Amino acid sequence: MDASPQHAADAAVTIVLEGRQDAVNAPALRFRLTDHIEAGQVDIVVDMAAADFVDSAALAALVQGMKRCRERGGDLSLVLPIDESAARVFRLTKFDQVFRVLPAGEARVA
Amino acid sequence: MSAPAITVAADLLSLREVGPWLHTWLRAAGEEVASLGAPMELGLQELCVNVVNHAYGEIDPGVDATIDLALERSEDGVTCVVRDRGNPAPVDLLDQADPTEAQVHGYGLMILRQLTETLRYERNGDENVWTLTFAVPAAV
Repeated sequence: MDASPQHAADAAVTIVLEGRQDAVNAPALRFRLTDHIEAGQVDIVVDMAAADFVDSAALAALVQGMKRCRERGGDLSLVLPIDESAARVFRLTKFDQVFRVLPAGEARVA
Repeated sequence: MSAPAITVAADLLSLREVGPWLHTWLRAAGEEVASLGAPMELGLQELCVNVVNHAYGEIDPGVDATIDLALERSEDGVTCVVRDRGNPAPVDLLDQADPTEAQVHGYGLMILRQLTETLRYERNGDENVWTLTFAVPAAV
């Protein structure tokens, strides 16, 4: 399943990513992040709790989004995949220490 | 056990065929190596994306743009040989991936190096041949 946006009460945009996040759908994620950032929405939460596979192409899209948000005074925060295997790419690249990581469930809108 | 070899078209969508094939083979190969499924799938994805984007990135039309993958059970894990007929990999490609720091480019091979026990590349005629070995983690 691809990204679907939600808007949290604190005005941060939440993008929920489920299933496989790889080089096939990374361009769509990149475009979606770009749309938000160019619209001035630079506080973004990407909730990947239900992602079951993440490759470096998806990671690169997130890193680019994070950098652009931070350049504009915001941030891109992550809820890491609950599936340890899917979260592996963040650990191997040490980006789990670069992103602001939120606990699963915190990003969801009630 | 599923076939120990598969050929996929060198496009990003076709790479999604690799994971199900891999997991089926590993499950049939035994419980011990089945645990390698997730790291192997990520490693092969990273390598094959690299092949699609770089080896076949600017290739002449008419070239057999496919990727061959073959699995073999080894004494302490699984060996996978990946072949393509694309452009040769840069000789220093494997040296560019520094696993000690986060970087904007080159995540794929950095990840692959960490997931594999050994990673070898050679140009054999008109083929790129990558040999990856994945070791079963030692029991604690």
